Amino acid sequence: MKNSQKFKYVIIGNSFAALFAVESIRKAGAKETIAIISDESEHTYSRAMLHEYVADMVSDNFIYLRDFDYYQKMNVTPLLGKKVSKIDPKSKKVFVGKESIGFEKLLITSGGVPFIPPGISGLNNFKNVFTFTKKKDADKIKAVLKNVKSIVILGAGLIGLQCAEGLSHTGKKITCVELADNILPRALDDEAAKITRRELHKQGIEIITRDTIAKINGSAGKINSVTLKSKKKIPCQMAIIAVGVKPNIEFLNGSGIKTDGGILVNSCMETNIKNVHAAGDCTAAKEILSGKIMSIPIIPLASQQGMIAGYNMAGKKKEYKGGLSLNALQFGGAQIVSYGFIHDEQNGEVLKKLNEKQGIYEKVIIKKNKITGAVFVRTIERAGIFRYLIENKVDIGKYKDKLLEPDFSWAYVQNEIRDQLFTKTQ
Amino acid sequence: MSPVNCKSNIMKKVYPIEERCIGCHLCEVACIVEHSREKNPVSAYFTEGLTFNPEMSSYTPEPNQALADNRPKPLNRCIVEENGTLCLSTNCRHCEEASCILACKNGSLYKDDEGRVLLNEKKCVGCWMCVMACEYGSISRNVYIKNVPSVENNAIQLHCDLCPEREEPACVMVCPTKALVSENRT
Repeated sequence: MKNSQKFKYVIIGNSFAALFAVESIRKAGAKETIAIISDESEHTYSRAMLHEYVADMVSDNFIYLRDFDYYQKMNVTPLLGKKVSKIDPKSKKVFVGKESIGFEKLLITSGGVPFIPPGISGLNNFKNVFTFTKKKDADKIKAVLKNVKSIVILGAGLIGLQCAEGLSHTGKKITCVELADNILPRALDDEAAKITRRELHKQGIEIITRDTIAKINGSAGKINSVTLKSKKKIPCQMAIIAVGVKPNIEFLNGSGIKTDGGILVNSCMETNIKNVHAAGDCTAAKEILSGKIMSIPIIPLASQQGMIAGYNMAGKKKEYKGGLSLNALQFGGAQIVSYGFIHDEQNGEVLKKLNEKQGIYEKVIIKKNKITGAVFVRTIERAGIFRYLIENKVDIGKYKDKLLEPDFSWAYVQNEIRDQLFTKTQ
Repeated sequence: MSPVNCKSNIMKKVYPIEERCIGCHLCEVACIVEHSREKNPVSAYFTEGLTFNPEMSSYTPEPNQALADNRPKPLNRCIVEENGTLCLSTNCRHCEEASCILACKNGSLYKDDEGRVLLNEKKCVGCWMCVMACEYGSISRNVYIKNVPSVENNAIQLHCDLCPEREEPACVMVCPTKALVSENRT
């Protein structure tokens, strides 16, 4: 890489938000230069595929997000293996160490970095203690897996549990330790969590809640057990810290770019600084139901934000209406979809159906005749209809009692909605 | 073959006319037949994807066997929505900014040059993100094809492909009351 290069569009990051931004920049007709800068050297891949990759459940090609000639086809210069250390919006430069890359429009899609809880004694003293956000992490785990019999995973959120789910296919003994009262608090309500824990248990995954790792113990430089805060000791040959991610924004200190738990963006994905946009897991943006600014680090929103940022950067105005919390997961044989605020039942009407024996569950929370949250376990066909009803704050008063019926369909909703969805121009 | 980079969106899509729909489900039949190997209703419904069960002297659904033999049962991609006498057939809208493509966790969904939203059947891992994301509820599961057998009940997704081998989609051709039309409404 030359000491100083310049591009019309510079994108920091190489994942969902970045890719959709590239595509919408080109779709808007902009032909100028685009550079993608990523601290990873890999071809663009999906972090959400790492748990299947680490357990060899899929072959390598499944994890890559685009063909290998993608950058060439899209006329993008990939600057991979370069970590951005500083951004100077005044001089319109991005720095990788001493080298600078100039831009006219900058998009930050730096994603999230693993949150390492403070106070774990012995964390850096022993080998075979990993995080689980990058392909490099998964490769390191794969390399030593055959010598491992038991694994302790810290965190029973999305990353921790999916890591556990994946690794349970390798025949290792897995224990997941979670600080909160329950698993996956953002995606599952209590009932869905109960069903999920049963599935995890069936797969030999042990879950310990209301606890955390206090100390990592080892011998001969390798981990051989962990001691939990409860004083319980668990022998293991590998530990994975998968508590969660926080927006990767520390490198923005001193740049003048405003953050509040994430890079603050408006509905055009612009930051407070002109010509600097942000999208994806690194941002804090509007949530669609409450209007509040929050970080919702999920793929569909990252992709959408990246797409909208790209259009705006290329001069085509598009607006982000706000994000809804969306989850689609599978643990064991239980497929789960959830939307919105699934715990907040206060002042709301709750419709529920539960078949405990078969682990089939659905719940809808309604406030002022509008759905504010929904959870579906094992009965998720047509769940997408609920996404529409929730995001568009549709008044479902007239067909409330039909929502959880097996034959619920578009034929029950307001005529105007069907008209809008299926007969108007898409 | 990248998602938001299709050259044009001039293709025709299928639009329902609910006032004309009589709920006969022939669109679903036509869709199944069109996506079958033999392209006839008898084999599409009674033998393809099914397995001969000697004890019952008939063909029964055995998805795992069909899977092992690579004989997927053809499934319908259009869905007849019903509420008493109100009915209409709905299918994938092949949206310009398709929510399913934005949600797909490994880039298996894409837009072809004419703007059709299509699935790379060899890459789909059955994660459900598209089912969750599609605001039209137009995506279902194809239990007869799976790419990650170690996951219980794994299946790839299924949605309307606008019958790429036909002049006009099968559902439109077969509808007896012309309750489905193929038009370009951009």
